[in-house]
Amino acid sequence: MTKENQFSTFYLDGLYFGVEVEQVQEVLRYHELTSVPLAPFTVSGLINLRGKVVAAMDLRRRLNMKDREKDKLPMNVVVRTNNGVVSLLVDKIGDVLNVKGDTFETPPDNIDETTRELIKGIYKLKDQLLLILDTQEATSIATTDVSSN
Amino acid sequence: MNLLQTMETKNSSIELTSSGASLPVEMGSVYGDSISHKEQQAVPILLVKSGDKSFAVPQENLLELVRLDKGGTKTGMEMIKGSPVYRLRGNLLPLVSLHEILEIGGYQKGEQEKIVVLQAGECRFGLLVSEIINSEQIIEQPLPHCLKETRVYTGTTILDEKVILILDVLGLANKAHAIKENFTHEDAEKPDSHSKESKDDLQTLLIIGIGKEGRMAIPLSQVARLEKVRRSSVEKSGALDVVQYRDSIMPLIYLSKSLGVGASKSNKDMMDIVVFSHRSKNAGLVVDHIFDIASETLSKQRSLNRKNVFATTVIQGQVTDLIDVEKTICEVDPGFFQGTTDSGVIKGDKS
Repeated sequence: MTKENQFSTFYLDGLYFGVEVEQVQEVLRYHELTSVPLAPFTVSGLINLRGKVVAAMDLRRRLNMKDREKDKLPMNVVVRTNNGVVSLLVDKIGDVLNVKGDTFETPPDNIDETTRELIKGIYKLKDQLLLILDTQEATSIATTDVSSN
Repeated sequence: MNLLQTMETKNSSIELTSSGASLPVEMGSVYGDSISHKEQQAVPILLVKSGDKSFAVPQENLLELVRLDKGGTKTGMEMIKGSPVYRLRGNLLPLVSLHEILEIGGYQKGEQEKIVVLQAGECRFGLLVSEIINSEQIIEQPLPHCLKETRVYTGTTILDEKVILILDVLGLANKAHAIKENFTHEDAEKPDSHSKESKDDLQTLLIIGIGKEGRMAIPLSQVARLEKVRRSSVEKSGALDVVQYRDSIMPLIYLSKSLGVGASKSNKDMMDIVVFSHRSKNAGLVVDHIFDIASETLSKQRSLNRKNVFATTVIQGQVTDLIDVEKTICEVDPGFFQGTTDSGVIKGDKS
């Protein structure tokens, strides 16, 4: 793994995440959400993406993080997965990064299981760690509770 | 209008492909699942509101719309053991409220006062909503993968820039059934496997109790009303017990006596009466309990040859007797059904 990879990055609860740039359709600022009764806990609602209905999944919830403060609006990283086009709700959008493969490592054992399952690995950047999200895992809800009822 | 926009976009993309111009590869993969090559047709829906949320009801499931009279109990909603029902032209229509099924909070009692009468498969029910907005033609979009498990939506659409969910009427019925086993049936989920036999046998039944353990059922289609009558208001007419009811005299038939299960042990001051009507004549069946309303396919029924019992079957996992209402009433009031040609009463009214 010495070739360079390109990642679209974003922040979640102080952590730095990346998604392979080829999977990203677009990034957007806050977009109005239509909430869906009985939707799984991780699904925040639906957005109208230029006439197409797309589900928005809150990555904080998916990663078992605490909800973002009420006054902070999430931003959208719209990704293409086998589960269709899904918008990932994140705190803040970062730059597109070129990262060298030799700084890559699989997730260490001591991080919590949910996070370990949802990230492919970690790039050890100079001043911080970049967690690479497995979008396929992150957008599937089979492993999460489908609301209480 | 957004509808127009959608159609325009669609047309332009079709033009692109048919003229052989290069459809951007990105677009193809981005919208891979949405640009289906089959022609998408506008679907008529009814837009309703529950609280401040709008939903689309497919018009193919729609039978009619009813406005509940505020406060007027005689023409309004009535409760049977916590399950609301509505008298729709002499038949009892089970009601479910949309906000309850979808667990939408912030609803205030009395707010939901419109009934959308729906039919899904063999199941007919009234959906209580707070507002009926209008009908629209929409282009249906697929339901995102992560919402499939909810089983109450069939798809989505966009109206005036807003995302609207399209309700799955059969799903709602099943969901309501899961919440409260009151009016639908398991077979509704897989219409293919049983539809042929259940078509004839499915009926909505009023489950009542006689004595300590007697569990009986009456086809709901035969029931005109449910009433409570004070024991002290019962008067005698010959051998008959009667009450004054709606400016007429209504004979009372003690079901426990008719069925020969011994006298009713109940001494409650208020008696539960199941009222039957025929040509503006009423007859009241006195029962000990009114339990529930259930929709069942009566496939496992067998006749045990008991007096005034049409058949015995299993409803909600319990053995239940189906009462031969006609016979029971005629026994006490032979002239009651005079002129009727309806011999298959037990089949109920399916129109």
